[in-house]
Amino acid sequence: MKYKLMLRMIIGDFMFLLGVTSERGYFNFRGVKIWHFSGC
Amino acid sequence: MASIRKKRETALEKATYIIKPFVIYLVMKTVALIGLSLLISTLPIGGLEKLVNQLNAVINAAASIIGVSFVLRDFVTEIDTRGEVLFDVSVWKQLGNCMKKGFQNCKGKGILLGVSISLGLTSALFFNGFIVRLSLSSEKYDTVEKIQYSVPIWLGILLYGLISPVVEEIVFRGLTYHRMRRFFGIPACVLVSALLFGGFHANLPQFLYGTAMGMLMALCYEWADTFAAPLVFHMAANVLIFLLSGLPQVGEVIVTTPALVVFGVLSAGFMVVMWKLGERE
Repeated sequence: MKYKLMLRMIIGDFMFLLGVTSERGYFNFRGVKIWHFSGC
Repeated sequence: MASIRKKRETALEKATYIIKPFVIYLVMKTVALIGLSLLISTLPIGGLEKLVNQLNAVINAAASIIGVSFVLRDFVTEIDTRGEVLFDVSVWKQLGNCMKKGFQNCKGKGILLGVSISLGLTSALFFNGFIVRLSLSSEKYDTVEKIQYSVPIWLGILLYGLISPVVEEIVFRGLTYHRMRRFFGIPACVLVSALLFGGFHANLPQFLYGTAMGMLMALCYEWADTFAAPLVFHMAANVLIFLLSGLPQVGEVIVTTPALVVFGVLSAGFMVVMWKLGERE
């Protein structure tokens, strides 16, 4: 499941650029959600 | 005699050359993010759940530094058109030399950089206020806001006022825009590099804000003809927006229509000054 989420996040980055989805995913380690983001 | 084929002649070759640094950065940042998260999850630290937002902020900044290190050599080569880069030293030392030389070249461009900072401040207020007024709903942006404003002021200034602008300017203006300009005119390069910059933020409010600011930063780079111009613009805008998040009363005032008109007029004025000064250079 962890790997599926990782894959979803990597694919999500590129999917957004293609206009397929507006939100990228996160992945979960020991209950900690790690988001891929850029601030400000 | 065999004819020498020109480099990057076809559309695909040009597109690959232009987009490559961005793709490398995005992939390596994502890989670094996963690696760092895995590393932290193996450490015997209790109560990570309580520090989730701060952890996200720091890990993302660290991952972006790792990501950009894979395109640094391209950047120092690209930015130094006189070929004075020493290839026998580490890429970080090359970057240091490049920055030092960049600052020396900026000596006569103090006014241009000052206008660039002013434009960064007023346009950040204008576009930020404009987007707040649109009241767009985005779950991702709500999360980003919580993460970025969870850190103490000194850390926020370091992450969003220094690391984030340096990394993103290297990727989007220093490499993507710079490479595009070899083949295309200013309007196309400004628009495409800005759309890529906005898209990189991956949520609708930041996409709109990033695209608008990306266009202005590319124009600053073009007109001032120095990498320092979009860099100081980006730093000033990020620090201002980050600091304003701690002042909700001020935030309410700066999104009012009269305030937005003032910021819009000032931004337009600074743009004209920047353009005219750039023409004189």
